[in-house]
Amino acid sequence: MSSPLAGRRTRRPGWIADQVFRWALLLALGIGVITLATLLCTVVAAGWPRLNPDLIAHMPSIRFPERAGAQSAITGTLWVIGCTALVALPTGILAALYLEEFARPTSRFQRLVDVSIQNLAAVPSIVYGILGLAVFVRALALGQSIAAAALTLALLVLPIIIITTREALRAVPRGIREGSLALGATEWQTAYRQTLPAALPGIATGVILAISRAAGEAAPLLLIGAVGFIAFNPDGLLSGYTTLPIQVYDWTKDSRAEFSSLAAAAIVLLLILLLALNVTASWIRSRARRRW
Amino acid sequence: MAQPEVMRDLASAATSHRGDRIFNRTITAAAFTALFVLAGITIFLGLKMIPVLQTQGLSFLTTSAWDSFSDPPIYGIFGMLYGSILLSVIALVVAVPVSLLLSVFMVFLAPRGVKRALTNLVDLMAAIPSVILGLWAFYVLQPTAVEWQQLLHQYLGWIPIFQNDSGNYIGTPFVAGLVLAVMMIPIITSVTREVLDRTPPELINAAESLGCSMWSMLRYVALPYGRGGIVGGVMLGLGRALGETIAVFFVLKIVFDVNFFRIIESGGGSIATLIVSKFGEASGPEEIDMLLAAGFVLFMGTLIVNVIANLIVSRTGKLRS
Repeated sequence: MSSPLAGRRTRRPGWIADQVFRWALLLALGIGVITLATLLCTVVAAGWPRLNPDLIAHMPSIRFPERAGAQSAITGTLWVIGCTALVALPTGILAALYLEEFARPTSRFQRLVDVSIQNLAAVPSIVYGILGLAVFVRALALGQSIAAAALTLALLVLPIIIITTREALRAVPRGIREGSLALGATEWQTAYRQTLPAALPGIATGVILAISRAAGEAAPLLLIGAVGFIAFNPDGLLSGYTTLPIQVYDWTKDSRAEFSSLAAAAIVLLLILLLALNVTASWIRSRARRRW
Repeated sequence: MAQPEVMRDLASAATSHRGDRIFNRTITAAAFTALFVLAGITIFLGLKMIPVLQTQGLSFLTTSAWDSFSDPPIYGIFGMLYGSILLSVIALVVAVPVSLLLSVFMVFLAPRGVKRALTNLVDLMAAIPSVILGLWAFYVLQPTAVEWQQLLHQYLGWIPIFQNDSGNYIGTPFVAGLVLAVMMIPIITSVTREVLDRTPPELINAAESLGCSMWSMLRYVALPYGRGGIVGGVMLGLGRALGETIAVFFVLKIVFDVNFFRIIESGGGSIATLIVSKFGEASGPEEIDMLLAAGFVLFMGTLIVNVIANLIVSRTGKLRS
């Protein structure tokens, strides 16, 4: 560094730009990390006093904020997500199987389907909410029920499931299918016994991510009638319900201090659920990398 | 030993033609649902648009008022439409540089372990539901951002966009745009990271052996190579921002007077927040039809953004192969 030559070499053309650029990189990194860190820290700190078993064991209460819990929201979330998965998984995976394995990839129809699925994945969730309100709640008269919510959310996650499943299927080598067909298996047997099992880890990852997206969704459910105050656990498809995001949203509208810490505690709960799903997804993804 | 197994498989293959046919039909039907849903949404919302155009005409798009009690009732979403665009622009201005730099750092500078950690961190950011981001923005970001906005007003107030005459810094498009940026960063970053990861190493090596600095390698090799994918990722984030509802609803004061450019002045709007804020108090089927029509406009907007994104991405894909 002390020799003039070395000094001249570090100050080659573009040296300043390079330094500025490096600092900008670190700044961007800092912005991302700090945002996430403050978010997690403030939420956990605000919800800490209410993070106890009562949160799960108690029903929401308007008159006794200090005793209120989120039990109905938890069971409601499980119901809604379960039913969503029940509708969306078979449809989505089968649709992906058709598009990837059976449809002719060059036909115009196929390209139309491709484009429309891409676009469906990007439709804002509130539009699905309006649609759910008009079709499921009103036209099919399902009312403000778990069934309506599950169908709406199923529409919302269907394109995501189809896209990720197709990618997983595409990663299965051609040779496996050809080998199976050459041994005399029918198309159905090939798909069921060879292609699907080989693509399963990829499919599972995509499905888990789609489900976690549905679990955190609030806007469409607001429109199709999830109510903030439900003091019972859902007992069937036509039962009224509330979910964690809706419960959080509702509690923050109440100005009493107990409710804001309660909301923070529920957020921590929701985040733990979603993080668990995401960690599972990335664990499956990293474990199943390239066996062939 | 293998003989009976082969025989059984052959036998099942021979008898399962019907199974094959049922299977074929099932999955064909499943595939058609996707197309059916998109067509359904378009037709349904499009039909709802007709009565709106009949009663309001084009003023639905060009006026800015929402009054269901006046006679005749007036509905116009211009302010909201403009607000959606304004918020997206603010979000893009913040999110694009940050995400680009973040992904460059992850791909070209970070050691393996750090890169993996950051990838997980970005995924984690993407997994946070918008209702949580909105709340966080309301309780934490907004109070802090009031001071930033005061500083902006104090030192950059001579630029029209940083004017604030009312002294009220709560519920500004600036803060709403920041929240949207936080939502867009993980989307854009993960797409950009994947694109930059695919830069051929021989090009990078060539640039480095020619004595390029980090910056010039990016400027002349990596960014031009991945341009299509990066633009696609940005558009993807933009689509998300246009449709975001709850997070914006928490921090934006919705007003119908069009806030054209004063981004640190209280008040603004977006179509998605219009829908969620007016749904609860809608006065009747007519107003709900108007909100559905607003949803249709939003739907078309995101559709256009996505078609453009797909075009850009697929065209660059073709050029390369």
